[in-house]
Amino acid sequence: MARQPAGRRNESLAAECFVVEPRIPFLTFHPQEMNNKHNTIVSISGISKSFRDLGEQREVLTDASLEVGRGEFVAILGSSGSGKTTLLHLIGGIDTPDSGSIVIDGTTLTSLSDTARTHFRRRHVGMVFQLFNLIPTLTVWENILLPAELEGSVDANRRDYAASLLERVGLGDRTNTFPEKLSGGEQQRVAIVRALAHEPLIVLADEPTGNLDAQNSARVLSILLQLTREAGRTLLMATHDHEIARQASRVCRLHDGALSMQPAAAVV
Amino acid sequence: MTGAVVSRLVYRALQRRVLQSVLFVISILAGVALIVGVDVAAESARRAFSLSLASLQGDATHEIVGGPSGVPSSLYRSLRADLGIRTGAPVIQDTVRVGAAEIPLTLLGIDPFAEAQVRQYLAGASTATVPGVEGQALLRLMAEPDTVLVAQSVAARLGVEPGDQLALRTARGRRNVTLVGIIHPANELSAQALASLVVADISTAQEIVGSPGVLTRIDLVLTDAQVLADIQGSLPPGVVVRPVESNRSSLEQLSDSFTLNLQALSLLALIVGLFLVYNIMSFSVVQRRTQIGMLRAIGATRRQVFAGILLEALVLGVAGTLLGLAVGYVLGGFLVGAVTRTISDLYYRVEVQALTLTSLTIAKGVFTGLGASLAAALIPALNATRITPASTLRSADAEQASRSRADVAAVTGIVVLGAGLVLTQFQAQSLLLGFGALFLVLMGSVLMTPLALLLVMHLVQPFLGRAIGTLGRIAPRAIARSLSRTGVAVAALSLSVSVIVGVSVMIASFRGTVTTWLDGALTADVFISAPASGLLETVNLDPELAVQLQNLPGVSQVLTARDVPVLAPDYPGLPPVNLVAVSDDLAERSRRYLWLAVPQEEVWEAMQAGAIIVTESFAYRRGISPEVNTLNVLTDNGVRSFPIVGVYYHYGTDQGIVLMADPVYREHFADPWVSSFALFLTPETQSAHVVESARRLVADQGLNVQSTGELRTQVFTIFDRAFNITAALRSLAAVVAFIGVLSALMALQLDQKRTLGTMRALGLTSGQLWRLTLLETGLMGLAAGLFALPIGLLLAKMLIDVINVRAFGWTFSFLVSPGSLLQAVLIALTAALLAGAYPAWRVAHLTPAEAIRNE
Repeated sequence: MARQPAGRRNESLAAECFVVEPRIPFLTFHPQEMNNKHNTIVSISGISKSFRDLGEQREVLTDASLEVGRGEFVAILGSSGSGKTTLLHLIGGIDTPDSGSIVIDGTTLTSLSDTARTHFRRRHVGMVFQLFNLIPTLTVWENILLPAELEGSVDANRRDYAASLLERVGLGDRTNTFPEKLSGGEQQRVAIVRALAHEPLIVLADEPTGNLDAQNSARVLSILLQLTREAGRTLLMATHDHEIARQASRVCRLHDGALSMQPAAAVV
Repeated sequence: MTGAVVSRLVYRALQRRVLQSVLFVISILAGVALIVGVDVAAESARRAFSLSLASLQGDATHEIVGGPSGVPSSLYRSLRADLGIRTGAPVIQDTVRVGAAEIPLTLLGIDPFAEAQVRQYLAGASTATVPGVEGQALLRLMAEPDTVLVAQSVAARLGVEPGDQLALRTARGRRNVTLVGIIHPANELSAQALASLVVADISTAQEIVGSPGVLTRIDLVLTDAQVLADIQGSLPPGVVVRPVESNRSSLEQLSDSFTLNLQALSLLALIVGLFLVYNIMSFSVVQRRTQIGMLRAIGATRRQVFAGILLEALVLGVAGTLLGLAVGYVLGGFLVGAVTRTISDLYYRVEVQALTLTSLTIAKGVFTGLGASLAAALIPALNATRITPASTLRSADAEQASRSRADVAAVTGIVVLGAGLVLTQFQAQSLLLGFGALFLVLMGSVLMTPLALLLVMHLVQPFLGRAIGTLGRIAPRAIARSLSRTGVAVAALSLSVSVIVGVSVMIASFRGTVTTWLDGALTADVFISAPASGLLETVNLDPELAVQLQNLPGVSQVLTARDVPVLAPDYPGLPPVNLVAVSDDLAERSRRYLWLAVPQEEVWEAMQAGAIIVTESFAYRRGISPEVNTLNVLTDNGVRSFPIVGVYYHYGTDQGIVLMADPVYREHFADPWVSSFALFLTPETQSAHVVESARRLVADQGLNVQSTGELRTQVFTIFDRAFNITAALRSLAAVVAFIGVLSALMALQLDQKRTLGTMRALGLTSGQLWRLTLLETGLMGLAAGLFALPIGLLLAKMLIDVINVRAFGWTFSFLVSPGSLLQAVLIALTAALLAGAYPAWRVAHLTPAEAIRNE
């Protein structure tokens, strides 16, 4: 577990992350397991990140630390602009922190080159975006296999697995369809399959229901949680929706760049 | 929404899209600069020629001219004595080569007493041996033989001062004269007029050119019609009085076709620029759909949206136009050397002392720059007005709309192309209409490009997918998907490369035809002539030289040619006829004819009996046909009619030639001189030996002695020089297209930012992204190159069959080399890849998080 410098706001945040009453059976998680290095898959230590905005430096994350266990579902709760997306981007290695370190399954992401980080990402990270972000020039099937294709690891097993996932989300008959022909809910279901088809270590979901209506939100969320649970994947989800956060095994709240804890009961 | 709000929005829009704004400005700048540059160069040459004519003609309203043998001096005396004409001045005019550098200048022989009536610059100028002692120089000029005056600028160029000796060389030999004074022009106009003159007294000039008792012409200032009638009545046969203005305008139009061709080519660059501006403005509107929708929601009218987009284009257009005018003026300075060199090679000797920027040139630049900016922004602005307040159209939908517009564009293209082809059938002599047809054909072809691009990308996508994988599938689909930008960029590049193909094929075809023509025309072994000095100057060589040449060892036969301008009264608006009288036919058998009224083997026989043959361009300009087959020429015996028995292909001059048998010429003109010699050698003789001995023989006259090979090389040197500027303009059009592709790729990259960011997030390495971008660029370049081939070949066909015929009266074979086509495709590919390098580099360095976050 990462140690925080004294006097900083987020002292021992990871240790204080609490267990939410399990509402979904597979998400049962015991805090003492956090101390077991073999079960910690994401370890963030003292990261800070700032952006230049209209000539001014704006600090989005300040000395944030967090540890996430294997198979855990962690909700990152915060209002718009609080830094949720930035935190996920840093964990996914698509952005780099100004300071601090990020270790995923024993690999220190922050010490890798851009290319090495990209290789790591396409093998071990799955991503679901708020705006779905399907590649418009690829069909559903090509979108799903994209990370594996980029890795050059598409084989019969991978295809079978991807096809089964697509069947599971109810889009087995849309393989040759281009994204623009799909509804928002369908696009997000494809995005979820894409995030899981290459069997990543962790899945990062950034407001996956933020652009959907209530009905589609529920369906997409249910699919995402179910598929990650069944595959035993670790899920970090950014959301501002308290209802969704309450379904996580742990909740970390982001406010003014700082990660803070909140009891499940307080997530109203 | 007030005008201030619209202005503020326009200002912010420009501020936010600096790169696009810069590319817009560059597009207009390049187009305007080319137009202005070519215009400045052409206009400067034209003005210099006009000034030189004006300096030689002064205030004369009429001139008395004769045939090649000139006007007898006695006529001037009888005009003064018998008719009391006081406002006339005798003139001797010839080209002399001055000093060790043999700088070609015009020798003007004058009568200083009569001169003040006609040429004010000399009377008004101070002519002093030393400044302040005026009049002394003019006295010496009249009193002392072999004395001359020059302007200060000429003296500086020659590095001489009063008292110095000057060596003048004519085709008749070398003569030393003394510079007795410097003319200090009274004004700038006089300075320009005097900048290429050597002024001598009439008797000195007659001695220098070897024509005692003969004048080149008599200049007259006439206001009384009766006096004119009296003069006409007193003239001997073969001498006429004519208004100088008509002569001047007919001479000035000599190079019109050449300069018009250059201007048309420069206009092409602007059309490519037009595409770019359209591309930039379209993208700008697509990018701001949401913002425009919001503006409409809060009360902006369609008119205000329209005005906002046009204002934006106008602001950038003004910047591009102003910069284009400045750059164009500088470019004109670079181009003027090449333009004047070619005009001097092909038409008349001209020296440009100062660049001319006329208000017409400025107006052309402003009109085309602003016009192109607004015209190109018109469709995007109209599209912007169609955005409704409730519009939720995404970029993809807009692209879908642009795909359906590609169908409409293709159909429109077919109609426009057809109209262009039909237009070639009308007004068979109008060059402007020919260019109109050419532009319609080009525009029509280019309008079909977006649909063709869509089809090609559809065809190559499965193949690339199998060969390269995911990236191979993405690239053609991305190009097809962003058709509103890629289509226009490929169209602009196709247009540019098709110009390269068209002009290259035309030049190669022309060169090939000239090669074949020279094989037939250059049947002699050695040629002797005066250095090239343009169409308007006559070289007088002593025919006795033929006897001396005949005596050189190895020479079997010497033929002579007399090359003189003569007047054809039936064509007063056209320049004088270029008559060539030959002592024997050099190429009767090998010459190719357009038509013949007698069997080919009897042509020379018919010519010896008084018939003439003319070149294709001569016949074209004068409407000569098997039915219209006589030419009236002013001879020393008056106007005589000559039957035309054939029209032959000839590529020596676009003004055309009349070929006459030498005995027939001598019968009609009392002209003792010849202009050039052709030597035939005995079979065992090497031409190099004869060339060497002939050079020794004619060393004093400064004549050119060339073997067939050397003459052929010289012909092609002039040929290539004439097309140098065309080649340069062609390359500049390619540069404009390069900027277009760059701008389109930048726009495409901006458009694809989120997709590319997502792909990076999903595991695409920066190297793969770099390859993807270059693959897209390469595909666009390859497609543009392939599309450019049929368009370019069609362009070449029209340049050969329509433009060249109308501009120069030449027809030539259509010769295509596969190498040049391959080269064109490679140019397009290279231009696209080079243009893609920067966007690819930017994309490769894109932080995925930033790309996604910006969305």
